[in-house]
Amino acid sequence: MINLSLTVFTAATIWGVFYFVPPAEGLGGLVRIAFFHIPVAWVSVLAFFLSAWWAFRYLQTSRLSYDSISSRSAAMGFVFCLCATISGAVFAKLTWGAYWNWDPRQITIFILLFIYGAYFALRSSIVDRAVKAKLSAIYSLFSCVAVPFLVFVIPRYYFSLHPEPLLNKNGSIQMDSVMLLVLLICLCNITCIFFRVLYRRKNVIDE
Amino acid sequence: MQTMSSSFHRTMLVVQKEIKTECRSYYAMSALFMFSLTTLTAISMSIGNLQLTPQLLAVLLWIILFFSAMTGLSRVFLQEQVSGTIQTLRAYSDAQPILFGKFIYNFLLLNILTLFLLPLFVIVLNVDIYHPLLLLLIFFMGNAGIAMITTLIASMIIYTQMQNALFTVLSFPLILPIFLFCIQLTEAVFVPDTFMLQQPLVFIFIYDLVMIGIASILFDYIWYD
Amino acid sequence: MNIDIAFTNIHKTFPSLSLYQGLTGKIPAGVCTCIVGENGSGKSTFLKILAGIIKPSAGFITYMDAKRKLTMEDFRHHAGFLTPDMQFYDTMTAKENLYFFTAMSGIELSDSELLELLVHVQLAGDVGAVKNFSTGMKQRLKIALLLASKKEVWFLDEPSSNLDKAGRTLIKKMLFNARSQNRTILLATNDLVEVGYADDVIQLS
Repeated sequence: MINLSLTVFTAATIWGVFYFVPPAEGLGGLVRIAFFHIPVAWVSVLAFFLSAWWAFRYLQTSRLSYDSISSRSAAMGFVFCLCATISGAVFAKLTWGAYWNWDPRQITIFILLFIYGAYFALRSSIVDRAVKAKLSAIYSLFSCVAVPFLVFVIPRYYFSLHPEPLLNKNGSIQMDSVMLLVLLICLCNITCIFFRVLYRRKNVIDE
Repeated sequence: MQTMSSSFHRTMLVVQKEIKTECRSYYAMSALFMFSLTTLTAISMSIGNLQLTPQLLAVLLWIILFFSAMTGLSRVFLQEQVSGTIQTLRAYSDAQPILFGKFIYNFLLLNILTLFLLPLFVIVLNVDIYHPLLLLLIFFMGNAGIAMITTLIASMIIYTQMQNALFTVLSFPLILPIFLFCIQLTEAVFVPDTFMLQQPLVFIFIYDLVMIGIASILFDYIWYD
Repeated sequence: MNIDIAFTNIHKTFPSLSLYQGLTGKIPAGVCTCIVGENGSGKSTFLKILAGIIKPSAGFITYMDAKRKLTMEDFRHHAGFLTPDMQFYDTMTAKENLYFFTAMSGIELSDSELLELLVHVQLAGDVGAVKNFSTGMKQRLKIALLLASKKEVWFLDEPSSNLDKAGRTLIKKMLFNARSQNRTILLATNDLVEVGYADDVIQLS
């Protein structure tokens, strides 16, 4: 039932992106990549913070189920982050002529990818289940604190090729209202997909 | 006379002990200093008479410092684990004096490395420093953040395999904000213009405080099973 | 302070083996309890679980003072250890090591007190840095540390190992003194002489 409604929702969202969204000024039809890129980028950050929250719960309770869901969230966050990086690179190539130019937002998404990679490197280098859970939780929380600096502070400080973030320094929203609505629906859809896959095997303790 | 030693006194004891054992073996210092010297020499010989931009100079300086840190700062916990003294420490000591004692020691080590590296860097690469005191402040603040992050990560890797590689991999993303801002600030010091970058200094200060606070909270979980 | 240690439903499993399941019991205060078992039966692990150094895979430990339940953190301040995996700083002398570890446990000893302890364990005199010590000498230093830290509960893992006759006599005197002071002692050992010092025995199989 849930899978069916989610599939329908996703199909409707994709249809909406292709038929409702007018070409944007300067970017044309390419703006549609942004409707995938922005939601996955945001969800990868969400996954990261959720992973850190469950890591915190593990440290409080020592229940391995928290560690399982924390690492699953991190795994999915990693996949979403990879999708965001690749879609961003494709968009960059099509609009600015190069896949990668160390634009500050590209720096932050790369670092998030790096943190995820470091997290999994740490997990794979420990054999004991409890020690693995504890140290992963600690690293997750420690890096969680660094992420706001990376995601919010650095891009605002450096000059950026990126379009002004949706909510710019003045706080006002700079996007056509139709596009904005479709974007929010996409965001909702991707988030639903994330949670559906995450809770697929709730309460199962993974190795 | 038996007295109870305070947390501060215990922290200073750890610093003292680290310095004492280091002076009797020069394990960490030789790694750090030789690595930085080797890297600097390699860079200088490769570029010859080429004049580097302030930005490139700032990047190189911090790269040398960062990788030197990666070779020497994990010793504070790795050595304890290898020699077995960590078992005695865990049996008899609280967590916080250990963390802060080793943090202060790593911080001192990084500052000594900076004072060793900077003059050589200036001479060998023919660098002009227009705001020397500011440069020292930048390094002081950057080193504080790096020292705390590496101390906490070092306390974690003693339970893992591939310790040295993992140490660099785990530390890098967390040190990166400091790294990026310090490079930018250092570049500003290498030009004669008035220094206008107060905001990054504030960011580094806040980041340092946050990292030190979080490390202090998390270390208890590492130290006590 | 009289601390009882109660252990309930203790399980301990490692990735490659399961040590024990469902251990339940109580270590009363002021008693010397011996933990015996064959090699590999998990005596040292059980000792560490009771001390709160290792977490059990399941079950829990409760520390009760006469008046109230103690947290793990409180209890740690009352526990002293003598285990084979404890080591000292090689490049420091016995006196420097003793001073450092006792100060880290919260007690500042004067020069004369340190010397007195070292004389008691027959480590006084110019013996140099710990790297020159035999295993027997290191064991004596561990005894000195245990005595210096003045903890109410002792966790000893094979305390007589590596000791000569004089060293074993030292252990015997130390245990007798501790028992007369109503100290709670947990002793993990296979040495029959050490088992003889105990009031109570827990057999692990």
